[in-house]
Amino acid sequence: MTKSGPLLPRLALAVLAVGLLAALTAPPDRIQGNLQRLMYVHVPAAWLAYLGFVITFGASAGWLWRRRPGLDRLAAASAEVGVFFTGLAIVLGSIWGKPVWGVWWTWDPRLVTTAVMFFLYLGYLALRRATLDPLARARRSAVFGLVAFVQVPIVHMSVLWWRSLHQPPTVLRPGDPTIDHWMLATLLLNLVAFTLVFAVLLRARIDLAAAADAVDSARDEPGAELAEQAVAVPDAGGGQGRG
Amino acid sequence: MAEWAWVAAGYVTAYGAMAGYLLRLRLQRDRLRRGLDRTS
Repeated sequence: MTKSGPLLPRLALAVLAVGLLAALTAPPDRIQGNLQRLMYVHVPAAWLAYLGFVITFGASAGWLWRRRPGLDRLAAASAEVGVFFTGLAIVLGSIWGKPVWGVWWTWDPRLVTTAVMFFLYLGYLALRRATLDPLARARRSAVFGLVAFVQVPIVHMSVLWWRSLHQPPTVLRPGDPTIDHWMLATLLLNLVAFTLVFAVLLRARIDLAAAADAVDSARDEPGAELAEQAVAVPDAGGGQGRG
Repeated sequence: MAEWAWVAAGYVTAYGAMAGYLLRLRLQRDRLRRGLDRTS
């Protein structure tokens, strides 16, 4: 970690440990028993997927307004971390769904809209890789980042708009949360822990993009053969100056 | 007991995925930086 230093990862690890302890000692659910403890990792993962795409939306709008390379880099990094947490939320939902619903997957509105959001932002990342010119890539992905965000409220509202097997919102809903206060405190603690991990991952992804940009700059200099070798690392794309 | 196995599977998946992703990002960054150091 360069700018945030080692403090943030250590803080994230500490809060994550406390969150794990709280999740394993919180009271079991009256109906689902201990299986309900999966909520403390599934729900934060889903919320952070939203956060990732909110940041991508804001940074995309910011890039179109100010044209600052850092905003493009932030949008790309946040989209990738958002895709990671979307995939994690889907997998954790499957692990929770199998013993509770009896199936790994069902064509439920919440699940389907989440899968659409996952593939939509995979498309965003694919678009970035497919465009070589840095300016064109930033412009196209900024527009994509704005349009794709429409899917985020659709995912959140899907359990209210359509008849769904998935439970409706228990915290982000009108009125008081419908969850036991101890469980709510545990959930919020784990949300803080996962948010800190999100910040660590985002910082690491931005650092990687910055390193890729530096390699590109070095490669553009005359006689930089060794930089050519360095840029051969796969999957390091996403930075402003790459291509 | 089976309930705890599902819970363990979920937590190992969550923490393992986050740790693996962070490790991948840092290893890639370090490889790029090493390449840059060789050029300077």
